[in-house]
Amino acid sequence: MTSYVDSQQLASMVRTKRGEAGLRQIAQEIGNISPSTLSRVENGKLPDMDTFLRLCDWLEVDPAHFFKNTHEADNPQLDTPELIEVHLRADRELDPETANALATMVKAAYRAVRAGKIPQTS
Amino acid sequence: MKNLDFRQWCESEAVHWRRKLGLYAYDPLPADRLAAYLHIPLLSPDAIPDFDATVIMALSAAGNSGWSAVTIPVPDHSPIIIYNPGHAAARHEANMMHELAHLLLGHKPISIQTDMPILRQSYRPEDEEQATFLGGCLQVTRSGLDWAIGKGMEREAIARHFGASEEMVQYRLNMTGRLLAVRR
Repeated sequence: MTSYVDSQQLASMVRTKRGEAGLRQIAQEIGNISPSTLSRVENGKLPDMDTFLRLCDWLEVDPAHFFKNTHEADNPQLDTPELIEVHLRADRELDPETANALATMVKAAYRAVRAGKIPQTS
Repeated sequence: MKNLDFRQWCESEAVHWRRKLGLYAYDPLPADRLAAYLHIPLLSPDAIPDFDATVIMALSAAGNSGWSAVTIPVPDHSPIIIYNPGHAAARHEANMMHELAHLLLGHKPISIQTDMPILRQSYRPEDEEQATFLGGCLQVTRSGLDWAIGKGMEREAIARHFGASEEMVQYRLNMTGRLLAVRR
């Protein structure tokens, strides 16, 4: 059994609570966190322990809420979500073939990253 | 941040990242070098493991200019950017710097659901404007323009130096209020 912090759930809760407010404003509200760190958390990156605890305080959530065990969730770290949120720089209207090809590519890239086949430094 | 302060900050950022990479303020900054420093992989479709070769060909074909880049956030990992290798070099550089600018600015996309099989996000218009400006600064620095003008370089030569398009150089000249010397 392996324990881990559910960074996806943390990211989702932070994004939801921040809503339309700016990163800088919320970072100041939380205290001792930079806007860029807050952005990384919202993108699923695990923060350091101090930042994690500050976020839990701000969310008014017990830190234990985010600790999971692999057997509880069948190793979700390697799951490919049904829908992946991406930013696509493209024409407003894409032909269906290109759209489907891009979707296939995004899922393949996501799986490769999660499986450690694409290093963080290119 | 006020508009003037934001623009000044962007000009400083462009110099800041060059210094981090051991470059002078007037040196070109290739997007892949900045991305590597930021630990953000820039990939062409054929660099994705276990990806169907026929789909790679379809997306990479020179005629398929409908898409430029996809930025994919991944939990516990830096985002990755996959680009269309069929674009001309200057356009590619501009696209990559624009995407990196969004990430440097910490912009949060607004999720919108489309008919596509992936959730296609957009940025707010004001965030797009910011990324356009910062991306331009990252490509062509104000100091670089001053240096080039001092050397009597013309727009084409400036574009070649920075790996940018002439349109980008003109945009930066307009934004910084710099004028090229008139040929006599």
